[in-house]
Amino acid sequence: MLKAEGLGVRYGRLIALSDVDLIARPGEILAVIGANGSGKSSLLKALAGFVPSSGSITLEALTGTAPHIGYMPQDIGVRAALSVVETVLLGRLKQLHYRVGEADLAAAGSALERLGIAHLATRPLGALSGGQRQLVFLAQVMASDPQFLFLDEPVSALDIRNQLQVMETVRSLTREHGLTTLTILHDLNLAARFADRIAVLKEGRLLACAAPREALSQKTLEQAFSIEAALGEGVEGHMLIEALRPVG
Amino acid sequence: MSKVQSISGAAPVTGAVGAAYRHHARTRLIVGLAATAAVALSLLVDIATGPALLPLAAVARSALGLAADRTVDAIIWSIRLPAALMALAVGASLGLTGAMMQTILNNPLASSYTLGISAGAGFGAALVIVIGPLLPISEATAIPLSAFFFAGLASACVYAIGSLRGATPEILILAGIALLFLLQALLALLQFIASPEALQQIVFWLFGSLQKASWSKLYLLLLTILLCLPMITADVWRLTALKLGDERAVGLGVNVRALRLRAFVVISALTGIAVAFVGTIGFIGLVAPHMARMLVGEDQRGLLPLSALFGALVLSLASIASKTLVPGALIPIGIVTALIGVPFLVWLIIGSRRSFW
Repeated sequence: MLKAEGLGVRYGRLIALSDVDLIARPGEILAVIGANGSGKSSLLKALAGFVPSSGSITLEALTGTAPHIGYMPQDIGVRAALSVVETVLLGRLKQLHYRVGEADLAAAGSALERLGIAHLATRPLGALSGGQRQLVFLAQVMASDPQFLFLDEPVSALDIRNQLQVMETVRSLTREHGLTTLTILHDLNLAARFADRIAVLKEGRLLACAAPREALSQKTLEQAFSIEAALGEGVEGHMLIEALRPVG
Repeated sequence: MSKVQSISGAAPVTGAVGAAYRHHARTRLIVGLAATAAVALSLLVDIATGPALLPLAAVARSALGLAADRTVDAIIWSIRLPAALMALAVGASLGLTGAMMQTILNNPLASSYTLGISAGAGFGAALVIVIGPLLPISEATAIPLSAFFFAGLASACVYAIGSLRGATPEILILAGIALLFLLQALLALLQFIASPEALQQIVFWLFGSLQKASWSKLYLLLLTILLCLPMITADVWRLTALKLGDERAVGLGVNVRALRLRAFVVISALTGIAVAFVGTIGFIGLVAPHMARMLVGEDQRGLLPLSALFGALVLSLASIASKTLVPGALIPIGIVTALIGVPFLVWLIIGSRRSFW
């Protein structure tokens, strides 16, 4: 369970986040959407404790242990001369010994296989495409055995097939392991399809936090993104959003 | 209860990833063993080389305490062995600290030389040479002490200035370069006001020389390395994580500022004591990590030991070259490392088409 009350983040004079109240439950995906600079990344970093914030944050793990957050930043432009398996092993940094144990190798292998990239294990990170690197970093987060999954645009560099595969993997992991997942998404249709609830941010303030059909109203979309949108339904019953034109 | 099972145990593992990783680890071990063998061979040749060329077999016998000739024993144990081992220890220290510096600053051009730490040592040594007669202790003692102190002070200044703006790699590098220019200017000022004899002594010190080596200095350097090793070993995975960038390292649970500070302390101690005893020797800290990185990548468990081994090897080879390039003359080691190091570095960067790791 994750609960934030009156959350605020400032960078000097700039107010990145102001008075945000939020709840996310185990087994649930909460998508965070909003225009560029609306405070999405700041929200994730504040909840993870990586930037100073005001207000209160409560993280309670289902296991009763200290909460462990798996955080995947947005940036994938890494120039490290590391192999894929070495990179994924770093997800287990807290338990790694100088000599890598079988359990750690198994965890890394399992994460790579689950994402269908085990064949890349010995490839240098720098030789991968942006999308492949994004999958590697997701595997790294998975290998860390998190109870809270914070993903900052996890599919931004992926092709459409991999976007669906990754979001389905995230959803099944969230359900199977009772994770509390927060993910920033720019694709509103992916958010509508995979999120249980959607938090909409505008200029650091929370406009809405509700189930997709409620959160993605025409009025909210106009307020958050300054667009006129048409809302419909796909063949599998998911909500579809088509951006028609900018307004204002 | 399935709800709280760990993610990593969720899918079956074929073992292919584990096998691939173990193969990679074996390759790293083989590279390390080959480098160790090369260092041992270079050490023997370095001991054998000098005004009196000794047969390798005689050197090996003497090193093992089996020599029959007392003169050979005296040459080896009193003169050549301390200098040859000092070359290895200094080279290893500079290679190791160069790799650490490049890791914590995420910059392949970073080294203790480029960030002013060696320049701090040079200034400290030059200061003692200029004001030597006024000091209550001998120059032989005061020069390394002052060089070590100013190397540490330079390092502390770089970190302190960098910390004012969050101790990010970019700010630390800028602070280091600024300090390098300041120290070079101060050194030039000392050279300007120095007497001709002092000026000659400063220039010779700055060239670097293994002839200043002694068993006591060697023990002190080895002790410093031994004290630093547990600190480096404890942080080896965190340093690897830092290669993924500050934000990702923080996400993995690394206290990045504390890690950089610890690494700076180790780098200052090792560099300070190494250059205090033999003078400023450049390029080792730049070249050795590049050689190691090309062979084993940036998993610091492989990179750091191999950078130390390559640092030891390069300085040992430079020591041999300094004694053999011009018959009958001993070229200062700092000049040789630069002469060998620069073309080699250019070849590494431009000539190598692929990394092998």
